Amino acid sequence: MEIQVVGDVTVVLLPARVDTTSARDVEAGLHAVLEAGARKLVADFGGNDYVSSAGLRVFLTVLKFLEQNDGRIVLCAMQPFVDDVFQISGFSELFTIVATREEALALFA
Amino acid sequence: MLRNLPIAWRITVLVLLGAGLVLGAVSLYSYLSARDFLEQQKRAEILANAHATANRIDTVTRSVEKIVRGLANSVDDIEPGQRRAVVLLRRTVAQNPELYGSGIGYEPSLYGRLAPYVYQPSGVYGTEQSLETRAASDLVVTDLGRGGRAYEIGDWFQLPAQMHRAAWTEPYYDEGGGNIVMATYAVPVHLRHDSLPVSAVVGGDVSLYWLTRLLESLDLGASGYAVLVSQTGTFIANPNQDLIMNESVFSVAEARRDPRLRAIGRQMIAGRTGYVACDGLKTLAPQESSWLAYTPVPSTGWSLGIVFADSEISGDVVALSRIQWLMALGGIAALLVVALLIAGSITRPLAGLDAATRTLARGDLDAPLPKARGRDEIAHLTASFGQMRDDLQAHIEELRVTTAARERIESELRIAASIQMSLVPRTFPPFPERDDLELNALLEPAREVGGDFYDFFFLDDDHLCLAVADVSGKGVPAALLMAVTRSFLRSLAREGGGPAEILAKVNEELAADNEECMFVTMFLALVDVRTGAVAYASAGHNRPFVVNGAGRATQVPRVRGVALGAKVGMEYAEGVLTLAPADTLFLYTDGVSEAMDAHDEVFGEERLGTELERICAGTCGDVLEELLAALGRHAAGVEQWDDITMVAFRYLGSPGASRDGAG
Amino acid sequence: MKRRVVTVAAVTLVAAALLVVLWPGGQRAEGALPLEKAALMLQWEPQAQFAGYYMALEKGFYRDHGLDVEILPGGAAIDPVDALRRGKVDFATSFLTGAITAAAGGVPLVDVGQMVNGSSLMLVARRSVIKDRDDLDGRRVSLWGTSFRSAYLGYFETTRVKPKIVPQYYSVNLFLQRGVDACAAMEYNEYHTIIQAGVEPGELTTFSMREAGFGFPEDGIYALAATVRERPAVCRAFVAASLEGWEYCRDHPDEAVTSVMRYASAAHVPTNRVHQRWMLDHVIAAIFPAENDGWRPGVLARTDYERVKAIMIGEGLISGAPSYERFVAAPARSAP
Repeated sequence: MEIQVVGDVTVVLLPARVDTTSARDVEAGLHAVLEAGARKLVADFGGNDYVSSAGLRVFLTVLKFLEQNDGRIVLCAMQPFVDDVFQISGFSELFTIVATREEALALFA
Repeated sequence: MLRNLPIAWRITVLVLLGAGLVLGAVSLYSYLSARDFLEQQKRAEILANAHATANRIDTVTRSVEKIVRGLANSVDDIEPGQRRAVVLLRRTVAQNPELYGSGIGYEPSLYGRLAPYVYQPSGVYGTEQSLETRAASDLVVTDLGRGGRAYEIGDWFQLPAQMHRAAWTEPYYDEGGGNIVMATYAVPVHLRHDSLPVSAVVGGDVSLYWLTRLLESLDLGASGYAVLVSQTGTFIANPNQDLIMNESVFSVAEARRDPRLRAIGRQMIAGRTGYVACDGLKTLAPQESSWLAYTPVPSTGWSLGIVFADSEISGDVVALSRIQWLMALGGIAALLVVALLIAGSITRPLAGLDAATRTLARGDLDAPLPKARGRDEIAHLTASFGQMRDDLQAHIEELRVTTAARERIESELRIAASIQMSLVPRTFPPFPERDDLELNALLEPAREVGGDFYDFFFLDDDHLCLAVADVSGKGVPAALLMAVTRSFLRSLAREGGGPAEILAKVNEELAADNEECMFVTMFLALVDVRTGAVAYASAGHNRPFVVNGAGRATQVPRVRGVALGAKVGMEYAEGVLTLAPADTLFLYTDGVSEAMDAHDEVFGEERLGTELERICAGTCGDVLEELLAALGRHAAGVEQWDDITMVAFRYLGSPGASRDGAG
Repeated sequence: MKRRVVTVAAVTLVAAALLVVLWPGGQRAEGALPLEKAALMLQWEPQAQFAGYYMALEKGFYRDHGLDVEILPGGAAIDPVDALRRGKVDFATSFLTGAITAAAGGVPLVDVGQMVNGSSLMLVARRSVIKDRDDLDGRRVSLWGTSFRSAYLGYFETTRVKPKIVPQYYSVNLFLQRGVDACAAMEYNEYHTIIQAGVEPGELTTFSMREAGFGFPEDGIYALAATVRERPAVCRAFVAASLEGWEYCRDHPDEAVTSVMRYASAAHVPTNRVHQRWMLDHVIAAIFPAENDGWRPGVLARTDYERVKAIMIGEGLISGAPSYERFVAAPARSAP
């Protein structure tokens, strides 16, 4: 998982798959970023083509932490299938999802 | 054969074999050259001995020759006569211990038979008799021609008389002097006052008794002996008395039918010097193989031979080489010890390692390994072996830990699975008393329980509640959440309200204190079995299919709704539809639509619809079975990752209800 | 230079005689009659030339014929004919030519049994200088005394060679020391002696008197005419027993040689077994005729006697000799 910092926004590039196996690493990586004090997060799904329910849970935990700590996460660059997952599960109602990273960063501007 | 021996012995045997070969070759060469050397040495020694002895004999015989020639010179100017000749002879014999006797024989045709002879019966040269005692002792004076005795027929007279030169006679027995062999040196004399070329012969006798003594006194080793042969090859001296004067080298050769010995004899009497193999000269019969060195006594034409056994040389060589052999044996023994020590130092750690390995093989990993000393291959091997042992120990420990963990997981999985399976109704048909519906469900749990569940129950006589849910996460937590969710669902559903309201209530319960952020997707439908009207809500769940009686499958329209437990205060939309009799409502979880094949291709909702259309003619049970089979074909051996959960509800129509509402 | 004093080996058979006397019914025809004493003198020292007499004595053939025989060996200084003439012995062996010479000289000798009819006389020459008969001319050749010379002289006369004759006595050492180019030899004795002195047969040229037509009968048993006349039975018995002795030698040569060696050893005659065996084999062949030989053992043929007598007279060795009938006892005469 690659992490980029653009100004005060931390951009996390998600791996190709966030399934049961990789969810732990992603969770650990994201929480490490959070513990480092990052509160403005962009999750870039550009390199991702699969998210399982375990993956959804990870984002949910991040979301909950940020909501309690005055932070915000924006998801972007989702491929259709991943978007479907968010749509079907209704998580698209919980998260801010935009088409591109620029849009995501713009939301923090 | 060698392969079966321990390495230490093999090394030892090979080293000894190699060293033995080298030592053997060296010893053989050394033996041969020593033998050659000793033979040469012996040959030179024996020949030198023969020369020296022949010279000693020659000295005496030459001395006799000189005396007799001197006597002849004195005689040639004296008149034949007994008295003066006897005086001369007495003086000569008395003064010359070499002489046994001496005489003058006159030619009978000139002077009649007259041959004064003086001898000393006990005067044998080489005895301890001193010159004084000799002179004092009685000399015997006689006339060999007394009584007409024909001395002229004797060799001593005839040889010089006929040959007109001095000559040595063949040795002969003197029977008056105790079997003494003697030889005579005889010189022809011409007296000036007669006409014959030889008017007298002067002779001097030498007893050969001393020769035997001389030859016996030679130090010729254990087997060695000396022989002396005359000009005709006859034995003059021989350790075997019987052969003396009787046998010659040639008679022995004839008796043995040994032409080679005859040839040797001819060389001897020809005055040659030689060193040859022969079968001994002591008996008529051939004896052990020997060597004969011979050399002439020049004055007399005799030949001195020294014989010694071949085995004596071998004996010397053996004696010489015995030391070598002993040294070689000692060397080999030392080599044996060294080879054993070296081989032992190599193989002892190996043997220790071998023993340790056996202990290890029995499972005792704590057995001590032999200490590796030095930095050789053995030490490396031991170290590597120790490393391997440690790795093995660590690995076994790790294995033990992971096995325990897996066992724990397995046990958890079993618990989870049993929870899951205990919570879903599994009796089909579930409502056998009812003829207005057909219902079947299937839950095929993954190895690691996914937390799917389905549920159906009548809220009252006419309203059937159908639910399919998928709990996020796996294992026991998922199973527990599933149980909790089901409980909430069952209890809250009975409080009344539509499906959206029920889901909202369940969500509130689950979202509260959901530290783990677990969530549940669920599709919930309330069917009015009298009319076929269905109210439904979805909490982030896959949209079910409706397959109508004509076999056409369509997904129910989407309704908003977030997965249960994700967040409090969520609201859920509610959809409605009406099932015509024979329509089938098909509920499922993503374990079906997202079933993976070997290329990570999902089964897909589209294909699911197609499959449903293909198989909808059968009973609900058949449909589920067929779908499961289709999923199996799709997966083609790839392990099922998520629970597969399917519910098929076919509405058969209420007997009392109109079908107008269908559509 | 003491000449070898030949010790006369007194060979007595007292024990044997006693045995016969004490043995009643012995083979002797005369039964209990006492043995008749008889003495035999040989020409030379004990050797296989006389093996038959020794064996006749040793095997008891003389005794079986009623004789108590004493054998006296001869030697260089001993003349058996003289001993016979002087009555010292009853019998003597002699070379035929020697006996004829003696008879011609007036000794009343009678040949009672001609033992050796074959001739062994030969000349042995050094091949390096004498390759054939003609080479003998002018060469130094040693010959024995008068009575042995007849055959050689006849041979030289016939072949017209004139060697220089040198006296030869009892040894061949003069020849071996190259004092002469050829020497007289008996094939059974001196020839082999020369071979045994290391000379190869190939280095020698030999002339056999027999092959040259001068093969004279040799050893015969002689007695004085008086003995023959007065004791004819003794003479016959002696000759018969002697022939038996020779037959025994022929049939048991090894034993005969052993016996001869014993006599030779006792008389200190230097010799060896191989030589004596050679001698015995040749003497036996000269006694017992082969198919081509015309003689009978024990018999002196008239033709032989007359031939030898004529040759000797012709050589001037004798002027005359007794008639065959006077010289040869009746049993030893050939058929008329």
